[in-house]
Amino acid sequence: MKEQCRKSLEIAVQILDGQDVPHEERLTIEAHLDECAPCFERLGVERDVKNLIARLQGSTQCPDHLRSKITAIFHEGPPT
Amino acid sequence: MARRPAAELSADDKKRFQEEALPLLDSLYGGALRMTRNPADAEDLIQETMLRAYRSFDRFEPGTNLKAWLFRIMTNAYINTYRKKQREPQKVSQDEVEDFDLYQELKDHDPQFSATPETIVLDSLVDSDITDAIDDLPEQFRLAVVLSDVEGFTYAEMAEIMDVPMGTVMSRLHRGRKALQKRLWDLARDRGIVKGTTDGGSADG
Repeated sequence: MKEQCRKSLEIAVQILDGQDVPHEERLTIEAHLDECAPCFERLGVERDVKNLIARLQGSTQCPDHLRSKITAIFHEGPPT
Repeated sequence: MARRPAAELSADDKKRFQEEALPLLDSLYGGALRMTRNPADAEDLIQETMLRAYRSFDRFEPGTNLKAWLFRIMTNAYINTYRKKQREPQKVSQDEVEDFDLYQELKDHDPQFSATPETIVLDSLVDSDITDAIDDLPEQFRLAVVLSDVEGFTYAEMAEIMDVPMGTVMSRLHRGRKALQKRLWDLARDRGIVKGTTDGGSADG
């Protein structure tokens, strides 16, 4: 991968992660993605995998007996 | 960490803790499961975390991110206590991480690959495949990926939670994602989800 591509992709992923990236830098990256198909597609792959992992958010529930134990801390205070 | 008797927590704090922290239990438990990789330890870790949080809640700054604060306590508790009794996670070789290129694999798999829908081969994986792949990552990578991509923390919050500089967060996240992508790809291949690559033996080293 070219250095420009590597760098662009690194910053594009930061933008994907919701990080603040200076406006001018953002424009440079967007321009690069417009003209470099592999970078555009690589970013798509990163986004897809990130979304795939995000499916796990909220997929687990705290077991009821554990929730009860935690709630008891409030009523009885922590064990000493 | 100072151990404070329950009586020192004001009634207001107590109420606030209940109202704000309890709804985060599902998320915390999910995080604890990914850290410890087994339900029994996850339960212990959650109890330890909530006790520590309860005892130091008067030091929590209202208006800041409670979920991040709780994850930080949990990460500390995990590293100081539970990690010691667990098997050391296997190492990911530098080569494995640096060389793997999911985009290239997808491209090789289907030369017509042009846009994101093709990553759909991975969409066929079920949640337990994803958790298996995450559980197989070494701890530091696992934490980074879970905190970022499951829990949605920012780099700055992750730096706080893991108590490392932001650059370390980014490097762990980058390498963790690559290692995870390789595992997901290998899983998809093993399952036959990815067709025409049943020759095996070609990728693992």
